[in-house]
Amino acid sequence: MRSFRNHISLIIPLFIMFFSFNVLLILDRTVQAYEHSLLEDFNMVIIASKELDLSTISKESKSIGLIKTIDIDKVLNSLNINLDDINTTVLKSSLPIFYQIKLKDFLNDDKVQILKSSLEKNPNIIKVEEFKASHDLIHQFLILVETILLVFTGFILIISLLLIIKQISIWVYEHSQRISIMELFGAPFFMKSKILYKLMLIDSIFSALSATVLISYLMNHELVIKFYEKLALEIPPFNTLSDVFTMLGIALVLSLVLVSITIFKNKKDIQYS
Amino acid sequence: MSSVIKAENIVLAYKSHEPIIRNTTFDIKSNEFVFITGKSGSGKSTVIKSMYGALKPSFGDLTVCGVKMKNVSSGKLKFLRKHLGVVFQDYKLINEWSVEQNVMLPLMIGGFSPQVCKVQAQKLLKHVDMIDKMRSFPMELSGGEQQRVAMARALAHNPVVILADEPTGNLDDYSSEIIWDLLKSAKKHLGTTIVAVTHKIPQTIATDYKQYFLDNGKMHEVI
Repeated sequence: MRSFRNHISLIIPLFIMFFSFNVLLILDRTVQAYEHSLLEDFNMVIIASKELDLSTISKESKSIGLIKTIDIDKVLNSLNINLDDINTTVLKSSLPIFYQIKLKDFLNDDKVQILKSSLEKNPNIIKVEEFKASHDLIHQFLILVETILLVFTGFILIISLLLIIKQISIWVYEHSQRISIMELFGAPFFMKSKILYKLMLIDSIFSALSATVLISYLMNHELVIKFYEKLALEIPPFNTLSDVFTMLGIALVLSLVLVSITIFKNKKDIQYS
Repeated sequence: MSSVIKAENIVLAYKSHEPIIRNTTFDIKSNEFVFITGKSGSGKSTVIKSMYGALKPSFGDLTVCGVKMKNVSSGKLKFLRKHLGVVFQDYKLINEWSVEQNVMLPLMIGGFSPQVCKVQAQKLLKHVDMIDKMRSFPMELSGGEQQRVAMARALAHNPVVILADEPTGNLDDYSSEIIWDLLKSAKKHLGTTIVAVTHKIPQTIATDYKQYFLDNGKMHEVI
């Protein structure tokens, strides 16, 4: 019973911590997916007096991923102007060159304005216009939620780590007799502490797995799907296997680091005197 | 005979407290059976502690199996402890482990394979007449039986020295006799050096031993 209580005392903070990591991961992916869809809808048109290419234009911003000339015939056709061939040729020769720009990374409004003004400083560029879908409010809301969650995860991490270290200290105390006897016979550090690493690793793996499985279940739940649909958000790609391995990796590192820290912190208590 | 434990003017004290042992010199040679006797609180156990490195001398030189104990590093201390056997009044057995696993401990630390550890542990348990109880746990044994297991553990890795701190302090006369016989046999058949702290030298040991008496913080050889 005492052993079960000891495990639960460790599993609860570990589970909350891994669950927060998972939620943060999901939200980050949601934001990324949303930014990607905004990026798809984003277009910038440059009107230039001379020819431009990607190498010259990318000096203005590393976010520019593609520059494409807009076919002037298509533009004129879409305008439905009835001109004869001679006038059309004259018009074409007097028109500037039109370019369409696509970005590699998502830029917020402020950054788009900075890019626009830096492009406009180029003497060969006459005008810059941007065309985008206006979903900024949802994007800002998502960023706000992500920031708040990040702060909360930070707090959860600190509190969980303190609780975990406290629980490992109790384990160190419980196993101090065994560790001190082993020390009397010259046992190496890892052999003495093996039991503590083992206990921590088992609880970490259990917590990481259960948190990831719960998140996986929740992400496929009708309520969550409906919520995403209402906000016109794409459900982020959820790779349970890779996420499980990521969480297991964190669990492994956490076990090694926390047990080592606690053992060194309590070294005096487990030394035979 | 070569020195196994040599102390020159050592001072032993716990942190900033008054020294318990003052300017003491002694020399324990290979294959000797040495008793350290004295009144309660005279510092007998303190001397033993300094020999297995739980207490470092404040002054003077103490050398155990060639290792200088004054500023001994943790690595060297581990190495030394692999060559020492220790027996205590309170047995110091791991309660969660079986008798067999307890005896296997020094061998596992020595890096032997589990199979070799098992065979050697069973051999020793036979030697101390505890083979029938090798699957039992320490809490299921009497004091005498626990000390026999502790003896088997101390002998398991064929140590150079056995340090015994009041090994019969909690035992009746019959069990005490068995423990002293085991220590005598280790000296005789394995060539082990024995250092035993006791308040009463057993009569069965006869005269083949050296005795130090601790009085007023100093160790005197009793001739």
